[in-house]
Amino acid sequence: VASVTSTGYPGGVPSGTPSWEQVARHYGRFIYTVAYRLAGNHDDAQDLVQEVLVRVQRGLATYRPGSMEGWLSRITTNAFLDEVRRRKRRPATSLPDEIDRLPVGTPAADEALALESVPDHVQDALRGLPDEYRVAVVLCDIVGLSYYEIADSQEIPVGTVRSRIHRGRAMLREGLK
Amino acid sequence: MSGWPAGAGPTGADTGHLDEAISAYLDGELDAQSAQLAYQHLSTCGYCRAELDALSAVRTTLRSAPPIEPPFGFIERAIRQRRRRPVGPVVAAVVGLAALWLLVAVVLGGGPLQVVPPVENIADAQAELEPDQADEVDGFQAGAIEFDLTGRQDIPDEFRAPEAVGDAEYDAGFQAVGRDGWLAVYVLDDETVTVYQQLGEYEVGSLPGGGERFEIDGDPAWRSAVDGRNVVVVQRGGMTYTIVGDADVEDLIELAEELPARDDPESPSLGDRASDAVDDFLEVFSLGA
Repeated sequence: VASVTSTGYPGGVPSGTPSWEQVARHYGRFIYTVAYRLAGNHDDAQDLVQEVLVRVQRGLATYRPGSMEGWLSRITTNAFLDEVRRRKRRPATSLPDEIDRLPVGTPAADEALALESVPDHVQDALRGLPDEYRVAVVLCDIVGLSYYEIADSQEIPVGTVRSRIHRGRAMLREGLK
Repeated sequence: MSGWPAGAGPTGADTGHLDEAISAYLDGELDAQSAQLAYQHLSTCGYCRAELDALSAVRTTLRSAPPIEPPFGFIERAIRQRRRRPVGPVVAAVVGLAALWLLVAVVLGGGPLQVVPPVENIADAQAELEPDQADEVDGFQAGAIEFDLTGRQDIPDEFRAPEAVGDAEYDAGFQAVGRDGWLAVYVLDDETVTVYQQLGEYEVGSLPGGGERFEIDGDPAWRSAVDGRNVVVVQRGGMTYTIVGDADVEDLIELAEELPARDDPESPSLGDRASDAVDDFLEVFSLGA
């Protein structure tokens, strides 16, 4: 789990309250990993990261030094669930995959194709979970938060966290075989 | 059932097995006593041991999944986009042309553009807008001003409003291009706030009767209540903002303090972006320097 949070960016973790650009650079891969695991594909992950950066930029003044990963996880999952709710209210007509809309042979299309071609049975399995279960499992097993931290970030009881993690993992058993 | 007191286990359930407590046991999330009971139960219950092994394998697989690399250059591109906050091509054209018109009007007019804050129109329109429908609205008409709802719903980046709500999280919102300005509607909890931004200065005589003149951070402002809604109009750095809401007037003033001046590079408003769009427009058509 720790590997997700080590970004490998030079300069180390920004001390004190960093600027939003420092957060984006240093924690970009972390945010992207969480966003991708939640959203299920690179197109939606990129949209989600953009939204997270907006919220980080806007909310950094309220950040209190502590677990930046926890804070970013909360923002990312909230943005993800907001988008889920928005889509439920206004179901979009299904668009073709971004790959299909990109002109073949362009760098963007090649990049998208390369990304989507990486086999990822973890992602395939996660995609099949109900959103709330996926959030709980991602926060626990991908981000590495404790049940209490998840409960705090999602504003739900610890018992609900425990239940969602267990049921989520149980549902993943088949997919990960 | 072996070894686990019915109803007394970590789950409180009566299945006789650990059930949800297995994951909590794996994660070290049981208290010492429950963990000890779970350990004893596992030593005698083959079913729960098999469950533990299976869930442990799932957990290990998830935890050993590598971080996902963003597409090359994605983060830097995202940062640049957030810095510039570019408008989409269609909006750039609309906003750019509108700004060009305003720019020409200012230059040819030989003085600051005079605008009329549509206070009553917006208050009327907002009164008809139910907070829980703000993000479902199909049209927003304020008196004679019909807004083109090019960017309603949860405000995508290219329509991001001026930093009108500070650090507050809004539940819903949309932005629209009006006759002579740009409109943003936010829903915060059960309160709806509308901000209308015009490029130009207002005259007090153009405002409804009553009300009170005051200053916000040294900028001329005016406050009143129209149709039961609080209204604040403030002139800042060549922009006129009309703020209408069912929030306390003090909240609206606080919001007004957040609104950017036209030349505030740290917080580019729609007007700034409009100017950028004009620059781009001139550059594309080789009209610039």
